[in-house]
Amino acid sequence: MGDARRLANLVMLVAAVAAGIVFGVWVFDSVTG
Amino acid sequence: MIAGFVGSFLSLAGVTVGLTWLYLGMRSVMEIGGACADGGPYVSAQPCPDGVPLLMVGGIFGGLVCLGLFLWFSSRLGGSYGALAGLAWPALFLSLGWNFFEFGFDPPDGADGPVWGWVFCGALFALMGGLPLLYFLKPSNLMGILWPPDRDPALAATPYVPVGVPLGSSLEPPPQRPPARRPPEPDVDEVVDQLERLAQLHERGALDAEEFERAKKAVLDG
Repeated sequence: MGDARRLANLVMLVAAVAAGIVFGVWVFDSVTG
Repeated sequence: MIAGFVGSFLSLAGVTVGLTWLYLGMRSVMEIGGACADGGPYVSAQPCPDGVPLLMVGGIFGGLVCLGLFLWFSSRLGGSYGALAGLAWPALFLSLGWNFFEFGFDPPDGADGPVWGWVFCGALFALMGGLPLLYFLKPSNLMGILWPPDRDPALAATPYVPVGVPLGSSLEPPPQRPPARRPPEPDVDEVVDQLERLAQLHERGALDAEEFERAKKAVLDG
């Protein structure tokens, strides 16, 4: 596994957590008003 | 590999969405006293905030499903990224434990003093979430997951030797030896017939005693 692939995986994991939090908060606020 | 990459992203995001809904849902319930109820034959004194029960139940089961999917997809990435799924446990208990502490020490209804029941739950949750987190806090463990090491070139050059085979021994199967040929078992009836014929010849004088004994021995020895 090359460094570029490691970096891509790491960025993907961090982005997934961030996206999950942002999307989760947005949906929660939308549903609960 | 693309499927593993995209699948890992979406499933991990799904796990985080589930955890976020649980965290926010718990806070919204604690803000109204810590308990609520909806539906059923009775009118609840404390109905739940709109949509919160659905989001919390969806967060639990959706998060579990996404956790399983993340384990599946991350196995295609190489390395051991699936071990990150173990962080869901500390994330869940530490975030919910934080809620217990925050609302336990600063109750929303203006009650005087801490709510010790919630503080106790917060301590319990902090313990449950914090102890497994110690494994991930060890830098070598975390870096081994987030930045998988290369295989040691020395190890990569070593030929694979199956366990149980002594080094230096040939991996070729030993040559097959032809099965040893066993002498055929003499037929008992045939031996008896031959002995009877020899005895007749001996009685008729065709064989003297010495010849008879030699012939008999030859028959008996096969």
